[in-house]
Amino acid sequence: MSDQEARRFVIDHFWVAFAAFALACVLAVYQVLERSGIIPAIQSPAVYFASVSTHGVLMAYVLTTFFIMGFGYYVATTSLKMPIWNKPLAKTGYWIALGGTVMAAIPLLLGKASVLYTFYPPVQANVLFYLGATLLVVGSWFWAGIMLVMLHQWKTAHPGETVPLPMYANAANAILWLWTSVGVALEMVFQLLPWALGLMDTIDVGLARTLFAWTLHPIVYFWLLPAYMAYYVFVPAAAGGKLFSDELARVSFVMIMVFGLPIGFHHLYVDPEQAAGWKLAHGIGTFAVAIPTLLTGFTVIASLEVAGRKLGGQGLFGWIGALPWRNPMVLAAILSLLMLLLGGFGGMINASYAMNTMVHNTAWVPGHFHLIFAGTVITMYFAIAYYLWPKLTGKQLCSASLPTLQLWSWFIGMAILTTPWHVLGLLGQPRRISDVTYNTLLTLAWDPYELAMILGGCVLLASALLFVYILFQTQTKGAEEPDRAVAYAEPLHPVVKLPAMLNGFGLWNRVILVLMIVSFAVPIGQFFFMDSFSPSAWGY
Amino acid sequence: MPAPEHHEEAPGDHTSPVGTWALLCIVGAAMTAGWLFLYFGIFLPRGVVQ
Repeated sequence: MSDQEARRFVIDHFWVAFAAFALACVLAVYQVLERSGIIPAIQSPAVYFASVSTHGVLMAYVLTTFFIMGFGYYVATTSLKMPIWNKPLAKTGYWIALGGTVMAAIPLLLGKASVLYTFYPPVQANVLFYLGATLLVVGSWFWAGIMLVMLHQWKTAHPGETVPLPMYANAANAILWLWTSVGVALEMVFQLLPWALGLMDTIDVGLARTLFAWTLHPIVYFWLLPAYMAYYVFVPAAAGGKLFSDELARVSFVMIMVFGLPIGFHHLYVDPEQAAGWKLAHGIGTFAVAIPTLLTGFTVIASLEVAGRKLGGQGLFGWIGALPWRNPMVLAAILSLLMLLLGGFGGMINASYAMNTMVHNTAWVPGHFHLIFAGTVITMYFAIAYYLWPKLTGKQLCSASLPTLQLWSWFIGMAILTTPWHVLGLLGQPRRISDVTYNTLLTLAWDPYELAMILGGCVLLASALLFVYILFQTQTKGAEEPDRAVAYAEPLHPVVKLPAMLNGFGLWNRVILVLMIVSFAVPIGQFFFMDSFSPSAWGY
Repeated sequence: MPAPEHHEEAPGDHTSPVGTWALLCIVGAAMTAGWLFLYFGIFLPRGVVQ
C-alpha cells in the first residue's frame, strides 16, 4: 500500500462514515416531524421505531467506528512515520465491518430490527441485525490490533524515545475500545445471537442489561477521544500557538481510559437487577471522569490563551477575541467545548443518584446525549475532516467561508434542538415514544417545544448536507493543495523526560483489569448463582 | 555531542494562563449554581415518588 493507497484507504473509511451520517440526519427530520403529530399522513409507530433504530445505529456505531478507524490509521502512519502494518489485515477488517453494516442495515430498513440502538431484550431483532452488528465490532478489533502492533513496533525501533502524543492518544482509544466492547460481545455471543437463532427460549434480561452497561458508557469515550485528540494535537497549531502541556494531555487520556470503563451502572440506577451499593460505586466513578474532562478543558483553553496572547490579545479575556475564529478547527473547538460544557452539566444531573429519578427515561436523556454526541463529538469530526480533506485528497477546500457557515449552523441547530428536548424532559415527556398527541393539558404544553425541535432538526439537516457537499466539491473540483504534510501541535515546553507510565499502557491495563473485576465480578457473577426461570443465566 | 535543540520562545509562552483560570472558575461556579438550582429548585419541590 503506497502513501496514495493509504490515503485512499482513509478516505474510504470517512466516506462510509459520512454517508451513514447524512442518511441518519434525513431520518432524524422524519422522526421529529412524526413525533410532533403535525402531519397526520406520516404517523406510523412501526416506521418511526424502524427509523429511530436505523438513525441510532448509523450515528452511534457506523459513523463513529468508520471515522475512528480511518482517523486512527491516518494518525498512526503520520505520527509514527511508518506504513500501516499488515495491509491485507487492515483491508479485511474494513470489509468485515462494512459487510456487517450492510447485513445489519437490511433488517433495520425492513422494520425487522426496530430495537433501537441499545437493542435491549426482551425486544428482539432479526438475527441478521445481531450478526451484522457483531461483524462491525469484529472489524473494528482488526483496527485496534493493528494500532497496538504499530505502537509496539515503533517503541521497539525507538527504545527510550517518547511516543508521539497523537499516537499515544490513538492507542489509548484502541485499548479503551477493546476493553469496552467485551461486554456487548459477551451479550451478543452468549445471549442475543443464540436467542435470535432459536437455540434458547429465554434469556436473563438483567444479565443482558448489565453486560450492555459495561459497554454503553465507555463507548461514549471511544467516540469522544478523537475529538479530544483534535483538541490537543490540531487546535493549538491551528490557533497559531502551542500545546500548553504534553504531559497533562497524556494524563487526561490515561484517566479517561481508566476511569471511563467501570461506571456503566449509572444507566441502571432504576433497574432492579443490581444492588444500590454497586450503582452508587459506579455513580461515584462517573463523577471521577469529570477530572480528565476538566483537565482537558483547562489544557485546551490554556493553549488557546497562549495563542490568543501571541496574536495580541490583552487583559483577562481579550485573547478570546484575538483567536482566529474563521479557522474551522479553532471555531469547532470553541463551539464544541461550549456544548461539552452544557452537555456535561446535563450529565452531572443524570449521574446524581437521586436526581436521576427526575429525568430517568424522559426526553431529557436524548437531549443530553445529542448535545454530547452530535454537539461535541460530531462538531470535532467535522473539523478533523475539514483539516484532513486537503491532505488526503490533494485538493484545497472548495470554499474558505462555507466550513465556518456549516459549523455555526450546526451549533445553532443543535441549540434549537436540544434545549427544548431538555425542557420536555423536565415537563415529564417520556423518551422512546412515537407520538405526543394525547390532547391533555399536560401534553399540550409540549407543543411549542416540539415545533422548536422541528426547526432545529431542519437546520441540522441543511448543515449536514452542506458538510457533505463541501467534502464532495473539494474532492472533485478543488484546486491543487500544495501542503499535504500534517502539522501536529508542539508542546509549549518540550518533553525532556517522561515517566514510563505516560509513555506506555502496561501499568494501566493492569489497573483496568483490577477495577473491572472489582466493579463487575459480583454484579455479573450473581446471575449464575441465583434462582431464575431458565436453566442458567445465559438461558441454556 | 549534538547541540541542544533550540526552542523558540514567543510572547505569552511564560505567562500563567490567568484568563483560563478565571474562565474555569466562572464555569465551575455556574455549574455548581445550576446543579443546586435543579436540586433545590426543581427536584426537591416535586416531593417523594408516589
